[in-house]
Amino acid sequence: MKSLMDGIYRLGKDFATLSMVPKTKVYDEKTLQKGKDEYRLWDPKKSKLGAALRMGLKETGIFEGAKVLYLGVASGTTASHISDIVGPSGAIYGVEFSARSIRDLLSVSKKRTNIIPVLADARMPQLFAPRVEKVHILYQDIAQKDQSEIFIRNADTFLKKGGVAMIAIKARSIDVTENPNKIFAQEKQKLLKKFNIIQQINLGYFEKDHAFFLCRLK
Amino acid sequence: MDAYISLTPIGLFAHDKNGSQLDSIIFSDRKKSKDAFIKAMGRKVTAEEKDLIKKIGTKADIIFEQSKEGYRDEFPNISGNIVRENLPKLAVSVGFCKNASEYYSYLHELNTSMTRDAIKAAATEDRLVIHAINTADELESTANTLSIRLKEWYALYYPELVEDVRSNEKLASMIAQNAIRNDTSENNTQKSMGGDYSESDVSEMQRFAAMIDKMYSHRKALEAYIKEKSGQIMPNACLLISPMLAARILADAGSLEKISKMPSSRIQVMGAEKALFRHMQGQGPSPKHGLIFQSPLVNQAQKKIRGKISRILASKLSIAFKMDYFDKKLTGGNKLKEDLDKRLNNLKG
Ligand SMILES: C[S@@+](CC[C@H](N)C(=O)[O-])C[C@H]1O[C@@H](n2cnc3c(N)ncnc32)[C@H](O)[C@@H]1O
Repeated sequence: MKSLMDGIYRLGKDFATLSMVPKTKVYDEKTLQKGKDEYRLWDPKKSKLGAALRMGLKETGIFEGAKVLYLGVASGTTASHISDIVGPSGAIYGVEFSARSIRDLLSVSKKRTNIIPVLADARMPQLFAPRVEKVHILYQDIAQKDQSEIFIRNADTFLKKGGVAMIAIKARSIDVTENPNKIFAQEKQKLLKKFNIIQQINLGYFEKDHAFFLCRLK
Repeated sequence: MDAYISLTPIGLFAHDKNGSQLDSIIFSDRKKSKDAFIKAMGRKVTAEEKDLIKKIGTKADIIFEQSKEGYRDEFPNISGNIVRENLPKLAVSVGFCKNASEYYSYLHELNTSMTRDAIKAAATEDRLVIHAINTADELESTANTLSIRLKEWYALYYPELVEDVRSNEKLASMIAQNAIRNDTSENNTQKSMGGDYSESDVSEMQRFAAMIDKMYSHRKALEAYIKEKSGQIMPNACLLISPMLAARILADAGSLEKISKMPSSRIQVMGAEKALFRHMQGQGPSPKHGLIFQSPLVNQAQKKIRGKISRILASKLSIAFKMDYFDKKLTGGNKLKEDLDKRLNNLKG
């Protein structure tokens, strides 16, 4: 099977990752057996990174062995695919502040030992810094009013030089009444102070009023 | 001289302002390393931290990354930036573990165990009340829906009873207790309009009624439980509003911690999010009350002062919830209740 970006495969219109833990589904994703290999199809309706890929994301920057800081990991739907890509030599610090969500993540991280569960608030990096390290990739998906500021603060603290950062921005959590495009333009200006924006994607069809930014630390 | 200290799962490190390492304390005893780390995450200065400070020498001005009693902090500081650059490598070089993969298994175990502890701590009493009140409300609404079916069904056999007994709860209980027709007399005007069905047809209806009856009584039992629990965890709020209403507000907020942080304006309109949303889009008046309308203080007041009353009640409630969250004991609730009564009286006066 041909790999597009590191560890990401294309099956028709679907994207998939090669399962690190075959025969164990994480959410109700479809799987496909090819010889000894099991591919897990990436459901764009359940994962914003999956949606971004379907909407034309050119690269993710994620590679085998990468260290990833994931803010808003929830029960690990997207993180499970990243876990497939970085493999056993990589690590994903999964930060989540809801005890209910991270309880489900624990059953995922039990088998996928490259996922390290961190129950903490992404707005307060000083409180979880002792439990993490600097990373190659920052990924953020949290519905907070000041999500861009949180993203920048975490990139400042934890992203290695030249690291890649991805953020899914939900317009409604910034301002329910404002036109989403106006919000995206305004958030983009904030991001540009810190990052070069490689690609901006509207998740439109899969996630209403969401924009996805692929950035690189300046 | 300034000495910057940082904390990692493998130990404590100190660097000067140019990034040269001054000293370190490694948590090498694996049996104690987790404990040493978790303690050091707190505000109190731990034994290991004291050791490190002693090693650096008392002349240094110490700067931590997290807030520590009696010391300055700065986040991130240079020491943290250096150690976080490559922790597995550092862990191997200080002899904490043999290789990176051993470091990650340790880290995975440490974080999993910390997360489990935190989940456990989050499973607090307020979670119990939230599930109980949501269950009570769902039971009631389900029983009401099923009652519509029961009425239609039983009316085939005994329409007069269904017509007579307006309360769903009472009707279910009567049918369950065998409320059969008694119209064997010859007098036609007293004869039921219901059809004549066999005993087994009627008893099937009664079995259904018994289940609905059970739902209502289960709801009642839950209510007693909620009242008791609410009184325990929100004693101050329960002086101002009923324990059931306090529980509903708690459920809407999600946790006692969350309500304790809410401004009173938010508490005032909780449960009226739809109206609030319409208002923010400029399509309606701002809601004057949400859930707190269920308080008789509000719903039994004259219409024109309801908005004012909700505002006063919400402001007292917000203080009451803070008291409940921060020290649980009945501290200032009585005083709040007096204030509230006074203000309401003035308003009516
Ligand atoms: C949309 S969900 C993420 C779904 C996930 N990224 C996936 O695709 O599998 C957003 C998550 O962010 C969490 N969250 C929101 N604010 C947060 C914060 N300040 N710190 C940590 N987690 C937060 C929420 O609890 C929620 O689980």
